[in-house]
Amino acid sequence: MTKKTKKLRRNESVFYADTLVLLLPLAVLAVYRYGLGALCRILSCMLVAVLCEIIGSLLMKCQRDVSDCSALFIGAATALMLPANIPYLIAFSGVSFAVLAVKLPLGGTQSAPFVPTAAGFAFMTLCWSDKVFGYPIIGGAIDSVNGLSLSHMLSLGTSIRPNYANIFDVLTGNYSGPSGAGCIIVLLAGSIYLCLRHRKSVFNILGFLLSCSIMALLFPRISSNYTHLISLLMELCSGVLIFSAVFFVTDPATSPSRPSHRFMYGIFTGIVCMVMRYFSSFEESTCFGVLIANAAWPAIQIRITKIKKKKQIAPRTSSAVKGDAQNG
Amino acid sequence: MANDKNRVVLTPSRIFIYGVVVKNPILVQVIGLCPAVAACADIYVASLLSAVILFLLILCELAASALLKNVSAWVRMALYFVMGLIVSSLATMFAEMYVPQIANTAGVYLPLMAASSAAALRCENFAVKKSIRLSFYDAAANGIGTSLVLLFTGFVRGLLGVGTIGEFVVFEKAPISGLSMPFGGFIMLGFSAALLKWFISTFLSDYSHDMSFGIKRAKKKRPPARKTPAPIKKSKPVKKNDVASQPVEVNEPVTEQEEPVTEEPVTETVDQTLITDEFDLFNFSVDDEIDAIMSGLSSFDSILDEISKEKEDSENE
Repeated sequence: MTKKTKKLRRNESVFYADTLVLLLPLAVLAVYRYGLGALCRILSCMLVAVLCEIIGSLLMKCQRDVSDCSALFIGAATALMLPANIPYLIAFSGVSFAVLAVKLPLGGTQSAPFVPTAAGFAFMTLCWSDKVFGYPIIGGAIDSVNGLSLSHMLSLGTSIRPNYANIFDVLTGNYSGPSGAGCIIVLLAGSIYLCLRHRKSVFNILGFLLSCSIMALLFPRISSNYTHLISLLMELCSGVLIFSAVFFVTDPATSPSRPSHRFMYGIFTGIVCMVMRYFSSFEESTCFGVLIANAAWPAIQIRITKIKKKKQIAPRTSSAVKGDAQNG
Repeated sequence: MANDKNRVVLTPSRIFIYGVVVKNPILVQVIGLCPAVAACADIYVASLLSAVILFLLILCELAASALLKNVSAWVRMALYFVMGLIVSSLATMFAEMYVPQIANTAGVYLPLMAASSAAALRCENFAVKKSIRLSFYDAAANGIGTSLVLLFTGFVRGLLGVGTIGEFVVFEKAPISGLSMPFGGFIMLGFSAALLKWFISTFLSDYSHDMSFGIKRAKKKRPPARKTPAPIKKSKPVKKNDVASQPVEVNEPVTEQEEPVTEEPVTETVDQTLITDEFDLFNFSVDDEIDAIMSGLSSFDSILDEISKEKEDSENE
């Protein structure tokens, strides 16, 4: 193993360890809101992810290091993106798909072209959309009645009442939604922590949020007294958009290395995610947007590099021609 | 001798093993995916499409081998599609007469068999170069290989994606409803291809090297080495009449020793009329696409290399 590979692997281990630290307060909030059932789902998903990683490595006869924490991250993130009353089998199949069908066959943590957690969530969305988006009411019986989530309201074109209590509830995730991906304040604090630990990630997150915000302001899906501002608030705080900004867009395997490219990648992913949200038949389609951006970005990066190279070569040739003219 | 390694003896059993397993049209050669992915979410539809593709392959390859050897290539391609149109029209007509429900479920994919890429490719790569007997074997093998995949896909997708096997309801609610969608078909084919690869590497290990796509990663263009003066070593004083201790020439560029090429001896004696070139037989257009992608990637790598080199140069300056 070369020094560069070792360094990359160590960086990724540190990244996933940090993301696990970030997921911890979200898990605590999920347990506080939905009880021990949420904790059981998170822990069992993490266990299944690790088991899948070990079994898959044995089947494929390849050496995979479970200690890089990526399997644990996949399990925990998947459980936190789902409702607290999701059947165990569905959560396990999503985690298994992420590890066995996306992460391991496509090159592992370092070189998987897609974010495995996003792929697992997309798989669950396509197979069991009624369960994946059937969020329980906070404070009520967990399996009784489904609550109305912000993303469902957006898909119906209805808006919240713009008052301080409502806005505070939205920011703290005090409404029906994913068990751990709803608390925006915690997620924003986590993004600051992530940016301090991994400074290049700030470009991804900023680009993503900027493009999403502009799209939400320009093309609101609701009609209200303060349409544009409420649209901005609801679009950013609904579903798993901020969660994706913090955990998926900053994924070290799929995001580019240069800061300018990272920023452009963030912008591109944000636009695709918002377009998917507007036109998809599901109430939450951010994960599809992330996957499309993962697939399309390498081709875009090649074009950008070629254009940059042409721009670099053009002034040199012109200056050389001038120099020849002066000399000759 | 080197070309002999790529040559295979075409016996009927070998043709069948290649067509059904080692070079399976869908799972290995990745041709004719449309019916498997889009239409085969039910065992009955899969059976109908399997029968049509088998009949189409046999008819096209026999006709190509018997009649089209002296026809120019661009005319042949049109004739393949005409034959496909005849077969698919007949199949559609009979299906609508006798099994209208299945014909409705198959939808547009039954008439679309007229433009079957599998038939055109096998005719062009095999049938027009070989005898009628070998063409028949090849058509049957490829048809059976395609049919097996279609039936397996239809069975599993019907069972897990819809919850039924034909008319029998196994699960009242589909366990994994996503499998009935096209993306489920791709996932099924992916896992089936992995299963097939495991089967070949375990039970048919002699054929495992034939399963590859023949992908060759384009070599990176290395920048020319900078001319640096070679260090001059001080030669030891030569003793008289001592040949072994004579100084070595130091100014010659150091060249890597070439590895000795070992050629495997061909042991079996074969009938020359049955020998054919493997890569001619099982060549398919996917290779070209992959080569193009690989060359694109290598050009991207070379661009990055050049940029980094330019940066280094500017820093050095």
